Amino acid sequence: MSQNPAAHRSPPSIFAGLRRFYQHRFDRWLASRLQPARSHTLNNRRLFIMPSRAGYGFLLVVVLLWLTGTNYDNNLVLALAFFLAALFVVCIHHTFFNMTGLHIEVVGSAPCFLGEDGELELVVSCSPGRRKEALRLALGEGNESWVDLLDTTSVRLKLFTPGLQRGWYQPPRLRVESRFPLGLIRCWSWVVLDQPILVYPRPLAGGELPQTAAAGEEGKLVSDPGAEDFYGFRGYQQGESLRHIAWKHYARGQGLHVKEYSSQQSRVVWLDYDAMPGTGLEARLSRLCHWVLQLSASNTVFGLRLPGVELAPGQGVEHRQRLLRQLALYRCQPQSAVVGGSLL
Amino acid sequence: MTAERFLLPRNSLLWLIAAQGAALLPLYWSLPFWLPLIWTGVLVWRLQEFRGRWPMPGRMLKVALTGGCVAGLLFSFRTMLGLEPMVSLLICAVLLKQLEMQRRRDALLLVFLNFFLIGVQFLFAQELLISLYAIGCVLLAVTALLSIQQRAGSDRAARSLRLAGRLMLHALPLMILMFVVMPRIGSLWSVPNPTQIARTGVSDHLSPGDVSKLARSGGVAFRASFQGDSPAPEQLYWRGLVLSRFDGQSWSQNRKPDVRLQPAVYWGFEREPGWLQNREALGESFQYSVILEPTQQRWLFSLDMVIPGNEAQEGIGLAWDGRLISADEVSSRLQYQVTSNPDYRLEPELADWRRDNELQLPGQGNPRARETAQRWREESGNDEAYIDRLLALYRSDFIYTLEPPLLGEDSVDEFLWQSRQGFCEHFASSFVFMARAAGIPARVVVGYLGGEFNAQGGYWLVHQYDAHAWSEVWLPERGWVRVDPTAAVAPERVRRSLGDTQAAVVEEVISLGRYRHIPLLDQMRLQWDSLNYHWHRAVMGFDQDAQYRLLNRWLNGVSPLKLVLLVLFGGSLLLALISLQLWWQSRPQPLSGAQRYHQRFERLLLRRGWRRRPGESTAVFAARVAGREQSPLIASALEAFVTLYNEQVYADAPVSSVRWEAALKRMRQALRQQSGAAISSSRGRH
Repeated sequence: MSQNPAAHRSPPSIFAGLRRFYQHRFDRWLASRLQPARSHTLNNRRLFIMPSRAGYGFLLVVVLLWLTGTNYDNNLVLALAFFLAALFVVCIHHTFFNMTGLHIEVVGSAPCFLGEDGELELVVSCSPGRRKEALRLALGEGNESWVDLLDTTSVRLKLFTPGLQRGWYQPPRLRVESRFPLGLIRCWSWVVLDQPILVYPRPLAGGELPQTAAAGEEGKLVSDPGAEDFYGFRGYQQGESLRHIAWKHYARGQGLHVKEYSSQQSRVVWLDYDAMPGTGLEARLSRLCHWVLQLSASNTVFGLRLPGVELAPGQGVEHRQRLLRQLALYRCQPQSAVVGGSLL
Repeated sequence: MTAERFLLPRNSLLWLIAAQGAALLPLYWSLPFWLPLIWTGVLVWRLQEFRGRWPMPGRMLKVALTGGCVAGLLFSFRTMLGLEPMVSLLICAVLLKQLEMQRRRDALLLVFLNFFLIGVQFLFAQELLISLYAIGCVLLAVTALLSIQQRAGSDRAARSLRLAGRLMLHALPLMILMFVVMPRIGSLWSVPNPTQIARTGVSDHLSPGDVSKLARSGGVAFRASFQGDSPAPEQLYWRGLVLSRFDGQSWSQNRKPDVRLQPAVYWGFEREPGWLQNREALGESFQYSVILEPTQQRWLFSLDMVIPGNEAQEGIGLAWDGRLISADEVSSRLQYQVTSNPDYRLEPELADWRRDNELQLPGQGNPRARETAQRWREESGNDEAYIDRLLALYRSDFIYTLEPPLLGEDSVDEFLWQSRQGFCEHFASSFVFMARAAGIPARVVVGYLGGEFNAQGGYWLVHQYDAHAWSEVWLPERGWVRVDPTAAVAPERVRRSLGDTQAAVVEEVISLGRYRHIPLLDQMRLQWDSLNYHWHRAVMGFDQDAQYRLLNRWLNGVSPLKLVLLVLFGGSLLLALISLQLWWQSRPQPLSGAQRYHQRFERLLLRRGWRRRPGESTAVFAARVAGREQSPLIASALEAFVTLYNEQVYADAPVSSVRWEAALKRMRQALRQQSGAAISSSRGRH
């Protein structure tokens, strides 16, 4: 929404190199230290604490006040300087206690297409009697959510992160941060959530359905999706693809709706990997993914053939999910290490 | 989403404005009148913007306002150097920053400036009341800082205030430790002092009417406390200035001490000047300390005769004519220690040129006084007898009054033989004139007389209305001898303070001092003053020496190692206590009744293999179990428990333990029956 403040800082190249070097080493150290788990409790062994930039500004004010008090020989100004310094120190404790004992548990994830936002569902909680305020949870860059645990001991929330790799994608480290109460001290922790997100191939429209693929048992298929009958509108549900949203309705302020199509045709269609245009594995899977979506939207009965795998023709949401899952996991590259966001 | 990180929560704007207003209020008395107007304007604009009525001001307007403020400051002060112009500039910056504050960062900067402004107000005033007020200012600023971090919706005012107060309470012991232990290193470079404050107290000129004007002020001049018994009030002649030049109307100091007296001031560390040999202490010395209110003048007040101490106080010197002087103008409260000896001989050897100095009179005027003086001196035979005759004249039918008639050209003649009504300056002035006219060296001394003893605080409170003028005559062998002609006219003035006798005249209407005939109010007044005094001695007067003395007593000898250990141990101890308190407050609470029963409920279902998912509510969990169990018995037992649970937790209706136990029992039975049925049916099948 607003520009990323980090984008304005571009240190000279030598420093950038050094920074990269240390960031890499830090990354490895952190990865060795943080074990993935479905639930984490933050404690002093995994909380980092440092003054924030505002904190350094605050210390500057303390120094200026001390200089003023010393030069004017004024004990009250000195007392104020000491008081603010004491406040700073006390803040370290308060900020720490605002974070420690926080319990984070992942309860589920929702699949997504490659490059779109996948979803993690978390429960953030603390034991009764504790209060946690102004906690910021972020998966990677810019994807954040604020949580307060004041009158309740647990909060359920969803975090979004783009699926960057087909198959079971391990989301980036979760960063939990708080500067409460005064914003002078930053306390944060990294949490690796053991909850991969299923990432489908990126759907890619690829012209007409190849004729060989349409070797149906009951004649030819009219394959142009544009010609399909428009069936009606349905309310948009969170997590659904944005592709069928009726944007005109939304622009008129009538809320989010999804266009639904239906087809009277009931022929069996086979989607064949070998018949797809394109050369690479990913390109063909993308085309297949596109057609799986199109055909299931038009209520066609269809099956899928991949080299070595064949899924029987079928219809409906569960069939579609099975096919997409097959596409997502087909000859999937092995899991890579945890992908981190920016580290400090 | 991202914006929430940067945008200022709305409530914190109100906290910021409150904090700012509180911090600026005490400064307005020392600054140009138009600054509050600007602040009000900015405030109105911000509040209108807050309500969504007006937009934020445009760029042109902001530039114009900035230029206007700088021009206004230049016009008001003529210079940008000095404390007031700099503070005003800072305030202008703070005010104008308000107009473009939209992000958290801007707000943080404003709060930091606000802390600085709170500190600046101490440069202008250091009373207890101001300090208490500043605590309120800090509380508001800390709350504003807190509210910047809070999410909209969690920033309930009372909660924010309470949290900020708790933070401050935690910081307080640590601050006291730092205050006591952190070394005071003294000024690093010279700084401009406040200048706009009116000069108060006695001035270096004395014309008829000066002291009586001062006598109408109930303000405090200084406070003094003695080690051991204090002298009688009629002995408390607080010497401030010595006036030797008379121009026919008013008395003033010699313009510049004669070169033969140089150096005229002894600062305590250099070689002793010659005039220091020409004085002698005869009696027993006593020690006392004085806390002087800011006067913007250099002279200090002391009792006769000051003995230069062994531990000379930096910046305080003894002048050749027996008074104390400060190196700089006293712009904030000043505390100093003095040793005096009441029995003394000051300047017993009077050189001829000095004698001429102290006999100076204008060439003409007051012919009757001159003629009478010479005649009476001849008739008296010696100086003492002549002085007695003069004092007898004052005793005859003179009237001591705060409102004497105005005098003309020959003021001494008119006073002595026509009006015969006057205040102390009239008596002292005419007495010295008569003495000089008779050939006796004499001079006017200005200062304060007596004071009010605050029994609660054990110190003397000297008010402006205690200002007094008396005279000194030089007698062979004895040196300078104090003669107070006012004592001859109004002996009660010497014994009692003017505030006691004429409180209604000298005190302002809205001051407690005016109502000292009401015992309760009088006690409150003295109590408050005593508090103020001790505050000053303990806090403002806590300088390098006091710090050393205190630490020496605590640590049984000061050494850097001991100091470091004190800071480490003391600091760690305090922080550990804070941690302990925070931990204690956030320790897991014992489970409430409903939670306990809920735990047992979950355990029952767990035995059958049902586990509540994280974040799953009890009702949803029960519905899931009922749906899969396919048993009406279990379903109804589950429903009964959920109803009970909701009743207690959400409707806040107390549920008796009997009903809880009954629900759990029913649950247990249903589960047992179901598993029994499952076993028997499986047997049946086999």
